[in-house]
Amino acid sequence: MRNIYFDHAAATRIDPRVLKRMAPYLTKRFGNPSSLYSLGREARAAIELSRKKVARVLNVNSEEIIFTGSGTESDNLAIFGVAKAYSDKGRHIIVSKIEHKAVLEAAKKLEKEGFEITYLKVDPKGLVDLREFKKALRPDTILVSIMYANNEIGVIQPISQIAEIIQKFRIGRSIFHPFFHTDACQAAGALSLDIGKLGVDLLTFSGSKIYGPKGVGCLYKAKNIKLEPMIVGGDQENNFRAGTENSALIVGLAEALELAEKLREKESKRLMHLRDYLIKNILERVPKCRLNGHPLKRLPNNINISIAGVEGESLALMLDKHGIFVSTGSACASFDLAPSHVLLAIGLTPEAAYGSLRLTLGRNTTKMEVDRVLKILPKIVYKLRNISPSPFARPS
Amino acid sequence: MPKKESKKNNGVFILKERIQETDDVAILKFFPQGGKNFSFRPGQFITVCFTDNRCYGQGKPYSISNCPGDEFLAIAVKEIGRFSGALHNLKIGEKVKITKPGGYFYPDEQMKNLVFLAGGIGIAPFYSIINDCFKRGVGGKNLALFYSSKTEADNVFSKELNELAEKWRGFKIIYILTRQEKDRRNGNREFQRLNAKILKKYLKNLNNKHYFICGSIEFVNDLWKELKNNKVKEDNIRVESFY
Amino acid sequence: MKIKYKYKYKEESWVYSRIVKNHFFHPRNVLLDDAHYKADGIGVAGSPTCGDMMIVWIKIDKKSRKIKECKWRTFGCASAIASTSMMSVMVTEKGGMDIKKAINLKPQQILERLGGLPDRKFHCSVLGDIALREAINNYSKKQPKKYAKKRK
Repeated sequence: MRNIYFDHAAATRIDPRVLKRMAPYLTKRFGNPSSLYSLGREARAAIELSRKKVARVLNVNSEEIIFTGSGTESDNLAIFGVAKAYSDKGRHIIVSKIEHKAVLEAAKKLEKEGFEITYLKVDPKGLVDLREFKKALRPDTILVSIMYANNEIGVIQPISQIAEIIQKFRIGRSIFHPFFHTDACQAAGALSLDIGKLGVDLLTFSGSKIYGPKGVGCLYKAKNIKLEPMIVGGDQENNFRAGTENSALIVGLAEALELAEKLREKESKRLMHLRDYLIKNILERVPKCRLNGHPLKRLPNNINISIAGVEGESLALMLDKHGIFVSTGSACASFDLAPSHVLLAIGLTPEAAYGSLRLTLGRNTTKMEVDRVLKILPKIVYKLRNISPSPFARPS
Repeated sequence: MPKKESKKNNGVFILKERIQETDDVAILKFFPQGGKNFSFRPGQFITVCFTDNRCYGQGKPYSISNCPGDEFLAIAVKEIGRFSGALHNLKIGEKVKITKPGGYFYPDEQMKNLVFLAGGIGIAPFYSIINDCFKRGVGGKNLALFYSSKTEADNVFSKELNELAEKWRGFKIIYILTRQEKDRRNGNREFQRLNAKILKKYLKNLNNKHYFICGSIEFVNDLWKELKNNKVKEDNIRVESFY
Repeated sequence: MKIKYKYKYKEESWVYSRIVKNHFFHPRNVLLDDAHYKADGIGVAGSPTCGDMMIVWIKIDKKSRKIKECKWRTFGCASAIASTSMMSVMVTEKGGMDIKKAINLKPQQILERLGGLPDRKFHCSVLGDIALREAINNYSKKQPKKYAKKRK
């Protein structure tokens, strides 16, 4: 029985078409893109073509694309880069409470260095409160970072509306800041990344979630924004990110993004259909179970549920025995024993966070796989509930 | 006059005093809000929880370091992580929730020959047990405390413990300093990790004694294995691991 | 492009030891019907807020003072479930453990039988230990004073 992989938000398998494009750059076309001779120029050409491809999908200029080593690195570069470059204009940054740790930890680090951070609350469905956001904006705000779509609960933020609010604020005060950054690692391939329509100044995405290789990311940065680089040395990536470029990974990233964009509309529809079918049936077949996050403003492939009375790690390990791979927001499964900060931010009690499961569908997910999970999950919940103290009251 | 004792399972306590013992260890004294303190056996622990969302409502266990009969509960907190950091940042007057004391880490009355093995902040429950023992009369008990820490600067309660050792003949302290340079000063001091060889040097015979081990998971596991490998009965060993 | 895999990967080991895996997938002594079980002592440890909670029910042989039965229910991760299961086996095997010995059961002893757990899962065994002790204390409190004097 083949494994059922329902954790595409964590990692995706490299598409064979992407792998084919990458392969020569792992073997015969190994030149350093900065070298003078043809072997180097060949690699350089591949990278610049990749840059063009990415720019085309984002509807921006090539020079505004910076390749990095991961989504986390891109997030860090955006946040630290802007903070350090514009600290003379202000030291206030706004992020949401449900940002990825790559953004939150960067913000916390800046806080220790004297920056002031506003952590915007979200409503029980995960959406940022736009009125609160307007109130939080100050003349000394230099950066706003709000993720396009959340990796845990899939909620999609109103990015263009937020961009509009920021633009009005900037014009109203005749200043050019705050800059608007969005982490689009989960949104890529599912939602449009057209920068013109989104209105952001910086955008992050990576290869690992779009059927491309791991170890490569991208930061879109609007032309005139200054950025203090984190990795210094050579002058690669326009002096924004030193280090010999990994041609294979960059080629893979661009190819994966192009492919994902081509398939986006059809795939999103197909996945949304499967997702809603899965959600509806889980809620019907598993008693005392709830969906986390917004039911509609949600990534087409994301299902996040809390199941009362059972704990996430046990659920995930039992599913693993049946060849079904999912993830959980439970503390027991995390290294630092902390429950998911996203689930707590949307108002879940710690118990509900412990009993949470995240299933994220993908390109190869079939209805047959979904049906098999629907068959097995209720049995596992029943088994674990049988050994769970219920209903958490002390016996008299 | 017998003090009134709380019969509830948990209560609200207020931080009224804070003593910085070393760079990273602080003693926090909590007084009950309702006036009634918990009763406890020295060596037991309480679970401390913040009243708001700090640390997601989780509580952590801490050994009580003061004596029964006091009007407060004192804990020794070493700052090593998120929870202990938050405890260190508590202001005087702030409230916490504390559960009824529990645990089995205390000597029974009839135990005469006691050996306490304390690793770092693991000294906390022993401080309570030793003080209480002294208060109620040592009654022919013999007690050897092996206190392991990195350097003398990391020691907590050593001044008070040394004073007690001078007054009580049956009580001796051996300091185990794992990261300090060896020197020729007097006193029972060893400069390597605590092991059975050191125990035998000071105890002569490992039999017929009751062992109490308190410290980090690693410290307790190592000594638990050492004692068992040297034929000490499992029933004669009690442990408390800090995690 | 054809990539030849030279090495065959061994079946990867489980996230915990084989014994933990066994007790997690086949837990022993779970109490299925707590409404009708007449326990001599009941103990609770942990809470759902903390992510682990155990209830332990014990039956004591009045003459020998040994634990005849030890049933439990646990909300928690695989380590928590396996720890309570192993603990229940340890106190009831070989005719049952004397409650004087059982009250001194240490998490280290549970861990040894489980084949070890990662340090960050250590508290799961501690909780099993606490729940058992609560159950024994609960039983002792209900006994005539003669037996209950040393217990808290």
